Amino acid sequence: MYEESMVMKKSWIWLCLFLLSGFTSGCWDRKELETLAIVSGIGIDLAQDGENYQVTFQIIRPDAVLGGDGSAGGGGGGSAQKPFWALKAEGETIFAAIRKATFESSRRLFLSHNEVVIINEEVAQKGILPVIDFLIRDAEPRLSQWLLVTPDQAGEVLQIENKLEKIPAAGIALQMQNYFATSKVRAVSLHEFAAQLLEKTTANTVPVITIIETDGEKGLRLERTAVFKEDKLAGYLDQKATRGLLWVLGEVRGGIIVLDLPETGGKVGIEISGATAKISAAVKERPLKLLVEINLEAILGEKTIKQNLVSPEKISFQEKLTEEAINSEVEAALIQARQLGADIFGFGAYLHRHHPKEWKGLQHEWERHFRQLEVAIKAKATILEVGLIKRPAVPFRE
Amino acid sequence: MEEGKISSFQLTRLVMSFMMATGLIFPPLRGVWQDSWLTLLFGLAGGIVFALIYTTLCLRFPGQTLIEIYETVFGPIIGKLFSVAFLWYIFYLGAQASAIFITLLTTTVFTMTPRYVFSITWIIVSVYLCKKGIEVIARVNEPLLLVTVFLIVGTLFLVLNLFDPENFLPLWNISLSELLWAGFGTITFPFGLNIVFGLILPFLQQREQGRSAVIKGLGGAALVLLISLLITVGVLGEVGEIFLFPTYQAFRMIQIGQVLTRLELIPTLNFLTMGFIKGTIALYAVSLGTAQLCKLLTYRPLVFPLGILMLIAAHQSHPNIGVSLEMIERVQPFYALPFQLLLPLLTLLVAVFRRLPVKEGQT
Repeated sequence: MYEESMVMKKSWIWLCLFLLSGFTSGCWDRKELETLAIVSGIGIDLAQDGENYQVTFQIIRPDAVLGGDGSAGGGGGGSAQKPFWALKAEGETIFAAIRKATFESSRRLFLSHNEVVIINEEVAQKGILPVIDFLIRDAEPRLSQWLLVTPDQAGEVLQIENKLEKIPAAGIALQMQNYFATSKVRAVSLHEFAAQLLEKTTANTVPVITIIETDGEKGLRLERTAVFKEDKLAGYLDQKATRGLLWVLGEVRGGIIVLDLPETGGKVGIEISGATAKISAAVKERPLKLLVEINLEAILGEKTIKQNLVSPEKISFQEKLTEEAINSEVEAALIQARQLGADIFGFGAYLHRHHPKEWKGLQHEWERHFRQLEVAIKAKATILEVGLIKRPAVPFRE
Repeated sequence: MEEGKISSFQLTRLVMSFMMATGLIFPPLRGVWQDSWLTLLFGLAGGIVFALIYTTLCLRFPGQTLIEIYETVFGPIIGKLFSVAFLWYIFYLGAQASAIFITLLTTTVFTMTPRYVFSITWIIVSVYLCKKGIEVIARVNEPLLLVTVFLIVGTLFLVLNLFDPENFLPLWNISLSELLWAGFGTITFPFGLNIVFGLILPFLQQREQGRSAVIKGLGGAALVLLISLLITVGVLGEVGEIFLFPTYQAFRMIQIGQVLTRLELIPTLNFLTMGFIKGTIALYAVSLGTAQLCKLLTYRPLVFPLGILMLIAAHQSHPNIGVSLEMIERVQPFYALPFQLLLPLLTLLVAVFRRLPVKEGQT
């Protein structure tokens, strides 16, 4: 009796396990790689009618990416397939356009691996909240993708092949991450952009990418910085002002400052190796006074004249010139920001965080206060290294 | 009714799981994102006060659950009325927890999967566990709690490279009224929810340790929630406030080199661990309470039908997350207060006034 019930019990367990395995193997949300069209870049333009969006997707062709080298080497028959496909779709909204793309695509668009979102100038002028909303609401796109603005058609930007990378959008992402070579580009991720949209006063900045043509071949270049007031494009900063902005934000990581030496007419290239910035404010005074202290560590990178510049006096003279150069860059950023009435530096956010009491009186008319703001720049440059040679390559006794 | 006994340390961990479950993934913010750590401490203090009141009650009536106590103190009719309302409240808690977790899964990872797939599988295991009794629930909870704390909180530390202390400035960015309102909300959800353990305290081995066990559990849960909130606020900054599931977003930000990325599945595991335990405790408490209310010999036959009802309630009363948000942020503080504070307090006062319980030999 006892044994029989045990056997019964055991067979029941086996039956349950057997049935369970049927339920656990499947999943509604399985996404097989070969059924997905992996999007690496999204471009957003206005459609012809000026109302709808025209969205361009740069879709990776996995087999062309893998087989790219082989087919190029063989070069036998037919044109080699591009490793990507730029698919265009129109829709009243971004999401609608994405779904409309399936009319032309055999696979469902998959946005999780998207790296860049390129927004046309006209769309940006109308406001990009509708674009941002979808990208942060939907579960697929990630917050780490980069935002860019282009004066050209975004669809065209995504058509251009990268000279080194197989996937152009990945190339653009890498181009942005190279900013530390010049510190004249400010890469902004979706997360940072959304975060600043929530701050009342801070204006967003987004890098600008344009199509250039060299020797008959099209390429892409990062230049300037677009300034957004709330979610609308308000204007541009040039490259000098962009680095001015980065100085204040303490985001300069590298780059070259070219100094014009007085009298001799030569030039010195100072390589930035690191910089920090500290803001402090005199909140009681009107107009408001802010002090930006910038500390720079640099390397003597190159020079064009015969004189030796390594002596202590010469080095401290170059440090002084470097400080002046930083001042003029920050000044340029300040002038352009004041013209736009856009607080790109986050001075308002700084006051909000560190002087909340005074901020209460300032926040309602911040744009006016910002235009009148007096910003003192105190740059301190230190040249730490001079490179591998101690004097220039000229005969010892001239 | 329930033959099993749990140790006080097991109770502590049950309280921890119950408090952490929704809070970890769906922190009650009420517009105080930046200062949520402050309201969390406020909520902890309130939760401890609530716990003191009902544990006093449970110590005064040893071996009785809140349902039995209400009947002893208020008599059969009024006592039963109070008990029915109280059981409805717990029933609703279970439904709410499962609705929130199902939303988490369907909006983040399983976007195509029907909602019922989650609730049905969840309820089957919950019913099974409830029928096994409180001892088994407590034992199952142990590894699950460990997994949650170490996996979820431990992984959250990977995002510290994006941590920015500036995100907490200015420190006191809320008015007193906002603080009080948000703190009040945090007391009722999640900390006040520990009233559920008024139905479980009698099954403790060392009855007199019940109070300290509950308070330790509240403290432990508050610590874990505090760590996760501090990291989430510090990493996400102001933008965190607009997300339904900020912890999930913080996990999405993890990027250590090109290797440790896309770990966002980890917080959804919380559904399988803490969410499951929370729903099971609520289901167990409702079944047990109903059985005591109707003077049944055992609660076990009630578990399955109540589980099905809870599943239906989860879908019917929370058709979308907007309803849950409105409920938690605006309605719940007032809706929960009678059950969490007023009813136990009233019972205690009446019990003292009527000199209950009657000691042996006095009658």
